[in-house]
Amino acid sequence: MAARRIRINVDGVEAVAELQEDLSPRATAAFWESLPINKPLVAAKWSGRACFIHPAAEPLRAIETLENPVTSIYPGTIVMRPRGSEELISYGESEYRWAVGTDYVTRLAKIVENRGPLIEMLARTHDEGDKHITITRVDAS
Amino acid sequence: MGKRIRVEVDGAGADFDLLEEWAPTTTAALWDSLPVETTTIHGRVSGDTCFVALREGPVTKLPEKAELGVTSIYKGYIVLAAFPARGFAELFISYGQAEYRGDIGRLYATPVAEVTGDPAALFDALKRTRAEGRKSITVRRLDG
Amino acid sequence: MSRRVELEVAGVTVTAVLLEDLAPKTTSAFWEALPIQQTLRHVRWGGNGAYVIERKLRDEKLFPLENRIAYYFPGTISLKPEHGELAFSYGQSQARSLGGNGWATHFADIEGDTSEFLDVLARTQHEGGKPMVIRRKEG
Repeated sequence: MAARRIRINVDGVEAVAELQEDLSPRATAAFWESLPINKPLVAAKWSGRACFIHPAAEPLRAIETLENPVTSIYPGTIVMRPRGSEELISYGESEYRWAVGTDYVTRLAKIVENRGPLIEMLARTHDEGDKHITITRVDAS
Repeated sequence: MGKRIRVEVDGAGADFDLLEEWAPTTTAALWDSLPVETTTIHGRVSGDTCFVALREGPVTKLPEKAELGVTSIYKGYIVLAAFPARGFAELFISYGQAEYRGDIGRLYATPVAEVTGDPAALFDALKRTRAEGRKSITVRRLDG
Repeated sequence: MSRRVELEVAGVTVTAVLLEDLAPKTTSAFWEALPIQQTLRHVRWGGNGAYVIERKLRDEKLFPLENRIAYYFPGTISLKPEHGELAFSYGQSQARSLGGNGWATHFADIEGDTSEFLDVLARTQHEGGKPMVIRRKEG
């Protein structure tokens, strides 16, 4: 079965991502339930070339453990901390960290369409500050 | 369309897209160093991954510092680490949960390729190196 | 008497004293590089801090580091000469990069009330880069 897809829009630049359901079945299911997301997108300060959202969504709080954890966040990948307090999307060299050092996250989705332009927009947060992000489901129909 | 390569282990293969946007210098050096016909063995401390030593071509002269440093090797990705002082580079191909490590902990490599299509047969061949040992591997260019 | 500099960003001006006894080579190179007019941006790896890149301060002769520190404290100015990176902190902050924890030369301290200046540093995360001017304070 084809992976479910989401549409990401950052300040007018749109991309499509596939959920990593084979790697993170529970987290991606909760993430799907938490959509749509309509939030500020902020440049990360410990994790390198990445931006973060604080989704504050109830379905994610039930996901307490990591699934196939990673510390590196590949460009165009969306990841999540356990309990969903933070989601990050990378635009370059990025590793999940906070004050006490390196940590691990669960992968949620990978951009598969229009990755280049969206990554360029994410990178602009470093110079331009916060942007706005919406994430919505792409209907299968 | 970007450059593509094919990896075959014990007759089972899959195609990979080179990650030229992420690592233009490293992927160009890899492309220019192909084809490679050698053997692969299972990683020792890096999880679900096999590695290949490349001893010829421009990859052996890449700088040691990763062009885009990652320590996690995502499933279906290939990363490259260069050791110019020792005259070789190594590729790590992940078929599951993997992290590029050495004896004293996490190290950094550059992601160079991402699998396309169905990699099941290749992943099975890579996984079998853990029990069965060294296997033949070819890495070659597709489309020229 | 130690030399002083002025830093101006987003309408806020502060004075910093150079720690010439603790970092003589670095403070001398810094003084010679002034005035500096660059963009102040939030750090990507180091936590609650901001930085300016000045290529004139990218200098191997500033190694080994003087007055070496790993943590940036609010109100201090530090230099990573491998990048020509001047680092400022508004809270918990460390000299980090992808490769992990690193080091810098702590070579100046901001004098007086730093609250408005630290607020500007913090705002770079949400507001983006801001032009900064650093100049000698004469007299």
